[in-house]
Amino acid sequence: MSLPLSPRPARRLSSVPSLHAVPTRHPTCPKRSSRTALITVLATLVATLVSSPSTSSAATPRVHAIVGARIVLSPGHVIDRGTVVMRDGVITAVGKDVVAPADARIWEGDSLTVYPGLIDAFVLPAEPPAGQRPGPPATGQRPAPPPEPSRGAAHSLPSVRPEFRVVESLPLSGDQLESLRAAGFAAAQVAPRKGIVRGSTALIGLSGGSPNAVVIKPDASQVVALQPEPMGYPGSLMGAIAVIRQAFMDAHWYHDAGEIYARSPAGKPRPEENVSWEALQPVIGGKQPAMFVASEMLEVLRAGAVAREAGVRAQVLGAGDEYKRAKDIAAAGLPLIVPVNFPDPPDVSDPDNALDVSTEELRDWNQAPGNPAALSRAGVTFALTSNGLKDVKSFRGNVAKAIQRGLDPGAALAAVTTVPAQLLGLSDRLGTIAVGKIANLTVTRGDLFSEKSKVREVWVDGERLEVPDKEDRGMKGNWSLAWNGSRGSLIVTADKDTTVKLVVGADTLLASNIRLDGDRLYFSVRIKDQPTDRFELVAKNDRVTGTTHVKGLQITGGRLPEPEGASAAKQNGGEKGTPNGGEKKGAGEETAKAVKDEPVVTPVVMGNTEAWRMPIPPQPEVVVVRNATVWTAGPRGTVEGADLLIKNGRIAGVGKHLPTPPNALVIDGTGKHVAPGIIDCHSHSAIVGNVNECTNSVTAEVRIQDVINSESLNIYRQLAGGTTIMHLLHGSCNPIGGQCAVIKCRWGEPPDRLLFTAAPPTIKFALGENPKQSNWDDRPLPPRYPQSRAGVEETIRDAFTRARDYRAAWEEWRHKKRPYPPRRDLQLDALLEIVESRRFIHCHSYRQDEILMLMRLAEQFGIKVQTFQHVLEGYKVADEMASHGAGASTFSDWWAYKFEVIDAIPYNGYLMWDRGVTVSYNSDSDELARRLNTEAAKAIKYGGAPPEEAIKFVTLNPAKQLRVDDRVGSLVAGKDADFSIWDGSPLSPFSHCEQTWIEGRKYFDRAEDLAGRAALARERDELIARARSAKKEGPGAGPKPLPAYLEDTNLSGNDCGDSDEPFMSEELRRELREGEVQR
Amino acid sequence: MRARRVIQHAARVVVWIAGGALLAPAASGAKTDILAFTGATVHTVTGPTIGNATIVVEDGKITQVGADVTPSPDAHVVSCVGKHIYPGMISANTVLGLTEIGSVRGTNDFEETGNVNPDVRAEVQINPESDLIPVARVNGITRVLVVPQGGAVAGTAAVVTLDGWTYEDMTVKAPAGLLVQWPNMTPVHAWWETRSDEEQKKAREQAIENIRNTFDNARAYWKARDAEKKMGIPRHDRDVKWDAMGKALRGEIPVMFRASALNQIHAVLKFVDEQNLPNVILVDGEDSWRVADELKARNIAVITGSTLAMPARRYEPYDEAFTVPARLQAAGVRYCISDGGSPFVAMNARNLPYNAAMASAFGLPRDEALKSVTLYPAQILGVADRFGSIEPGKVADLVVTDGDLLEIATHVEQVYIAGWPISMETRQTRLFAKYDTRPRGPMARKR
Repeated sequence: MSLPLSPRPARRLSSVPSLHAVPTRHPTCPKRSSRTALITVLATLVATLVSSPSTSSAATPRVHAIVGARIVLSPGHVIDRGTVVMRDGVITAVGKDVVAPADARIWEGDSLTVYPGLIDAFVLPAEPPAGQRPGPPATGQRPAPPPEPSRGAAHSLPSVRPEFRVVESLPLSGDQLESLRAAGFAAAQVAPRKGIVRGSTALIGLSGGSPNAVVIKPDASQVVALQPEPMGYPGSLMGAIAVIRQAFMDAHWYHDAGEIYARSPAGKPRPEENVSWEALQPVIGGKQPAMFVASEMLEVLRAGAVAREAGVRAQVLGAGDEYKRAKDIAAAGLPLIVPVNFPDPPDVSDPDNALDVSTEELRDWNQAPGNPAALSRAGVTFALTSNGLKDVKSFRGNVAKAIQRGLDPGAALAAVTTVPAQLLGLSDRLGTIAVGKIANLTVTRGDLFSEKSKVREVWVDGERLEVPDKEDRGMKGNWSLAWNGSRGSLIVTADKDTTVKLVVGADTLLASNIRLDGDRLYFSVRIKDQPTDRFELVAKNDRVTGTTHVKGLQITGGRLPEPEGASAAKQNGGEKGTPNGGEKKGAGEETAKAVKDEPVVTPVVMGNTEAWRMPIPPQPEVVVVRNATVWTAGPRGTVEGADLLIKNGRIAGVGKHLPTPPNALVIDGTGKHVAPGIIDCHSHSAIVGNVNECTNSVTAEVRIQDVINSESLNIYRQLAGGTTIMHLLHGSCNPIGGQCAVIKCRWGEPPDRLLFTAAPPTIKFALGENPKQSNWDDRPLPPRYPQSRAGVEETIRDAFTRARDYRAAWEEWRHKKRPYPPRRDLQLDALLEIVESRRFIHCHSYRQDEILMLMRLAEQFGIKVQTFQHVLEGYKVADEMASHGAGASTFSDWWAYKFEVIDAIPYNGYLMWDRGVTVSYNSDSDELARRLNTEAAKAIKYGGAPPEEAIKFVTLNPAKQLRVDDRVGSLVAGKDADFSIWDGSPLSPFSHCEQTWIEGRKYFDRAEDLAGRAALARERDELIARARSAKKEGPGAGPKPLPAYLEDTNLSGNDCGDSDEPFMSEELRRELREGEVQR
Repeated sequence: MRARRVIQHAARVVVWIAGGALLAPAASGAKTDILAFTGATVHTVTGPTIGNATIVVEDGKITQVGADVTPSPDAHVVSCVGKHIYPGMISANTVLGLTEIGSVRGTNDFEETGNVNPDVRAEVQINPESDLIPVARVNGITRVLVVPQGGAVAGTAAVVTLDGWTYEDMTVKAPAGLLVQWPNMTPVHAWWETRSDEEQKKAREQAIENIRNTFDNARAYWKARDAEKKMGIPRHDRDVKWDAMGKALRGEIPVMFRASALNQIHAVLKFVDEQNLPNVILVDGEDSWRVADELKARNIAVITGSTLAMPARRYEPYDEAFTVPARLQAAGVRYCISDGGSPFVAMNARNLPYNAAMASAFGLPRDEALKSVTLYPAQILGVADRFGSIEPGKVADLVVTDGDLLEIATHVEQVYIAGWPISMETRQTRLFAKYDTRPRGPMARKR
């Protein structure tokens, strides 16, 4: 062949020693002999290209140069055509004008792009095949715990295993390595899978070499998962958080005690040895970050709070829904590692069934690809991970979707290179292509983040790992060819007839005599005045090799990206689209597609079911409700024709014709009634996960505060019934349950800002059938103590006694009477607060004997029972309760649902009130909490309390029981402006609530709710229409389980015999759910 | 028999008069089987509400109602000045009498095992001495439809009065309807559901097929039985299950389909058409308003579930369940309001009127709200010739109150069932009376 080809730049080939003899300077017509020599060399080169890299022996030089490639050094820094040189696993040179060293093996980079090797900051080792895992248990039964192998001197809970090290359990399976590389990853932080405090990760290169060789950084971080255990303690999310909190404290104590002992061991009792606490020392010492695993976006905030409290450096593995509270998450200041497992469109094919698809699910499908962009806009530092994808293969395509939704491509690249490098503390060695860095590279054909592009190869520690192409298209397509120091391009189209064009310089030569046989192509072409050459080419994995009739001549080359027009035409289904002709049309299609991809806009109107979307309502400086019937629930009773004046969120006065400044917002209250915001003293309406830590008899260490569900729609629905405050209680599963939380229904705020901080701490106790588990049938496990009312009494007495001992121990330590500080114990901390009247008891109770018992027991310890909950036989011991000073938070009329409530009477509230007890009516129900106003009317019906007293049953009295009556509960000057407006008497079931205000902000307005409905319905229709047409696109990540904050509070374990749901820990629940989804 | 009842009646009236301050003593020598309620605001339901009206009741039946009615001198006059009188309320879906304590299995009879139990009869297991019954009755609930639950074809329901010595005394109409629980049609993705969508679909189709087979087999049975009268047709063995379905197949009693979601309701309508069922009632019908026209076209009435319920779906407005009756009413569908009939609300069957009040707070006209728990259930259950309103010829189920019957704060002062003043005492009032008189402690309110 003699072609007027442009000469190959000498400097490239001159680096290959055996090519020194090649007369590369001859621009044209080299002698045949020298050509043959060159071809021999090329042949060798091609041979190594296709050979498996793992066969390279130790003696093979580890010097490589990728030449002629587009090089992305780091996000935003690109060399259009340059060279990267690697030596012994390290990058030694990179640049436009870099000359490959003489000893380097040369790799053609033509048509390829070289990126810094991608880093996946969170990879779980592939799970063993399903057969080896235990299946989900039959409903209604907790599985018997399998025997746990001894872990030696470790933590007593199987879920706390910080001493576990991934570096001791490598390697990853070959399949997993290969699939990660195929997605472009060169390194991964491998995380342990099991437990709560799970152990240390390891950052490894993904070459498949020996564990000794691949580890880049052992113990990079300590993984902490906010996940309960499938069996045993902790069985709830809040329990898991308590365990984490305690573990960090224990590590501190272990450190301190160890130091004291080390200073002078003689004469001191030896502190215990504990490898788990030892393993946590780098975390509490700030040397190792904690990596929290979050299963939904609120968990990111929870993790942030726990980390802050424990004083540890933290990073969080997100769940992909962080866009929902991106601002709050940004404020938490933690770096994130977020997945790109965007959900599939929900199945809306059947219109009847489509009714049952939640709008939240539709919106999440619609908006989730915008998650990374939203985080980026909010200023969150984040890495992207393939974790959570059903198939790692979809990673780059999904990142491309995220880019389509506004993620800056540079930020996307940073999220898999520089950011994870920085999170891992390895910015000096990973993340960019620069001299001195580890030779990890990702080489693609086409843009990295595109569904159409391909990862050609991944370099790990300077070792080239080719990515096999599973969708090889054979010879069809466009190719760049090189032969004999010359190059050209080849266009093979094979629609109806196969046509082959060879482009050399400015000439396009049409081939004849073509035969296309899968990956083999034969054709003849005549180049200018040369004799016709017969070509034989073989394509494999986007590389082509071949020969001509010229003996020994070797052709090599690679696939070129398809021209825009061709792909667009193809996408259109236009078989006849020509490579050039379709371009304009294709561009139009792209625009149309982009428009279609814009997410459906969600109307932010009152009645929107997603709290996170709702802005905080403004607080007008002055508000006046004019000329209404005002139920003050205060000393003035109910005042007709009165004004309610509010200034800066506080009540400024109630009275007739109050003077108001001109800037006041005036609400005409003519014909309306105004009542204090309703306070529900017994609610579980905004709690994530299991309301019970059911495993132990005393669980004072768990905190509802940790699991407040700001997204619970109950908050809004209850606002619509005039409710402004909820007392969120732990369940009644154990004699001493968890710590409770008082929240204001500030719909839209995140969990920590829902908390009503003026409320002193409370805790849940329980007596009777529930803590003694009377109504739990057929439990496979041996019964938990206690099983009788006397056992309940003893359990509480023991707990109080332990709390006193704990206090004594601290006293001794302060007076230097103990060699070591007492081990700080979160359960005893809480119990001590109770014994010292700093935390107030709200006790689930029914029968008079148990009510009396707890008062007497408390009195022995010098404390009071703040409030009895339910207390359905309270009327039998009302005088004793009044004398003790206990409040009663009861049902108005529920009874007969179990034996211990057979004597419950609707006169209970009245009778206790009549005997001087502070009485409230509560809901204990998401539904009833929306109409507690009419529950109050039952105090009139049954017994005959005056209406002015009855209203207090749901306002002032619960405020007293929660010890917040100085702030809320009545419409009295100085208190918070928490109130509701009704179209009639708030005690009438014919009335409905029109507005609800908290601290001078309007959180509910029925008129606005009604007005917003049409827009919300339209949005839903649009989403369903899109989901219906999107369904055809094919399988994606599969349906995602509902985030926990969209589920109802799990009340199982609060078993009153009226629940079909068996007790099951939340973890088991999740497992079953995920199993379900996978099917 | 008549004599004994009159004596009981007299005794009970005396007891009531002695116990209550409401009534002036009756004129001496008055006949006790004629009662005249005078001076009350009478809510007739079918006609206008009449102020200062008189109701005359003879032998348990209303004979006259009006402002200018003069009772015969024989009548026992019950002065109701300043009071309101309503017809007794009818709870159209309850397990009252079939349960006592929810968590104690031995007290529960509302659910039989097996899927095809048309021969299960609600009335034969009613415990007249249930403590739950008086509690419902003293708030003005006088008649109820007791509905068996469980399985697919759950059994027959009975209209029952809440007063009587035996279940036979109490039974007003039985069978009153054949209850069919339609299977759930929406794939469940809850944690406790271990079956895949496909498995669930299979099970669902099987369940529907079972219902279809039940109806087909019963129809074949009745065809064969009816043919026995003809020449040459042999006798066929009797089958208690298919026997029990005869009336429902012939339309003499309604088939009551319990279905909530739209997909269930659509499937029910399809089934009704396919089976050509002439007499059908929809029970629950949360989504029924979405198919109002289809219900109207088939003259299918709806016994709604409780209005005091959460929206079934997260995206539905907060007042969704409150507004179902108003939507049905506006669309012209025959309906009445029930409390949903769950075993867990049987003990609070007394709260039926507040379901109607809530519907009214959210759009149902007030007079409709009252009808929805009196006249409409009587009509739908086929007993409106006797119950549901105050008009001559109807049974004297009367509720005397100090205010609006649907207002919670209203006190029901006396309930009459068939003209008999029932005892207003319950387990709960007894305990109230007992502990109200306990010696008062130091913190008690001064009386």
